[in-house]
Amino acid sequence: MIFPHERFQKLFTESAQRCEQWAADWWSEHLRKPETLSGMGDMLGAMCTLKERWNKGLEQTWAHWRLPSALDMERLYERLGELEEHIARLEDQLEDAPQRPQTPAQPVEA
Amino acid sequence: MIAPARSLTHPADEVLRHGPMRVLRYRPLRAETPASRPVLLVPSIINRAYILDLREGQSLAGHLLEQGLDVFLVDWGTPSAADAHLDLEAYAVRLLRRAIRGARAASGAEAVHLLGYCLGGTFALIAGACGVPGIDTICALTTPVDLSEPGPLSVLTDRRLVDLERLCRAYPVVPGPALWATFQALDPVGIPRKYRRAGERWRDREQRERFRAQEAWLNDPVPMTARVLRDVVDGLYRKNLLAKGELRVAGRPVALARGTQPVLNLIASSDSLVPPACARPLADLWGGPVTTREFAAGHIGVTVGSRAPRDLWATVAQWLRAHQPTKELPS
Repeated sequence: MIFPHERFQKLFTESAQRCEQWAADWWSEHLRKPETLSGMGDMLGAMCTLKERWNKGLEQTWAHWRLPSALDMERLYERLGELEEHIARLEDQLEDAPQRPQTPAQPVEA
Repeated sequence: MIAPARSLTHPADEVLRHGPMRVLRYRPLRAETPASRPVLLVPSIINRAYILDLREGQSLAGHLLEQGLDVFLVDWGTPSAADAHLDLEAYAVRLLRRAIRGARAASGAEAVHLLGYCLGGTFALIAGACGVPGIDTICALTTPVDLSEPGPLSVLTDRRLVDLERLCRAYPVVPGPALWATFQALDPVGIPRKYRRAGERWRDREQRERFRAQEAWLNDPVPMTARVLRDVVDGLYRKNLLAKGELRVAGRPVALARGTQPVLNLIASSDSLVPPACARPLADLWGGPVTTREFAAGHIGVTVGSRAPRDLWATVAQWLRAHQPTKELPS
């Protein structure tokens, strides 16, 4: 026997599933349309332009005050990264190199 | 929205820190000496590392600890403006090499087993193919390799949608919530759908806790450096350079065929983010022996789902036991 609240729950679930399926199909179809993708791309592009201008403004402000900008810091960290990489390679070479046998110190003749 | 949780379930100690990355070593569950060859878990950079140690009963790391293995975890951390220079090469070779070295130094082992999840698996394969020292075997879990047909993600990587060079200039570090929202845009109906389904099972305490833990992890997005995003989207997705053997790292081509380590390729058959067709070709592309296993699960469910202990975890533990070279594991 199905109680009224169970029937209501079943009805609700079925309706929700149908709505979800319809919405998901609609979105999936429209998301792949070239005009949707281009529109979203334009929006993202505009956001990037705004952020770029903001970054540039900050750069100029820092430069005006003779302070290192975010770009300067990024360049510095990049150089540091390269240096670290170089050190890591040297460490690898040391690790892979065969151990040199220890030779006893020779007495120096007078 | 369920608030993010940022801690591991099992206690672990930091053995190495380099830039945003940390390497953590789990404390053994038993007093006896762990297995001689450690396992280094390499998660994706897109989400937090604790998916591999989500909660009791949903922890791959915990299961490996129970098997008596010495488990390390790479936590890629949160990149800041100071880390904006990190690209694919930095993650897959430089940082991963450091992590491997850290795990070897802490354990005293000659080599480690790498277990890479999603992009972490791709990094592990690139490191293996590039000859990064100290890699014994690789477990590639839902790892994208051949992205000629990337499935639903092809929308997000479409050239009309994202101008990567412009994105790099504007956002040297792409905010986590922006990445999270982009993934949600693929299936916005999925959010109300999963909450409705969770509501139907809300009386089951275990199901409720599982849902909470997974949502907390999903609602905890990580920022990504624009350079690594560019390398992944343009190099791996749009141009499919890794599968074609045309990917260049540190000026040298990365040929998967040069990889010699044994690989366990773990595929989720219902994975929509990394469809099986993107992971299966590894068997043909990799130079060493490849064992492939498929599980009826999705991208996340394969690792933390209710069937994960008897499917994925058991397979991984068995593989790792079989590849312990010098010393028998405690029974």
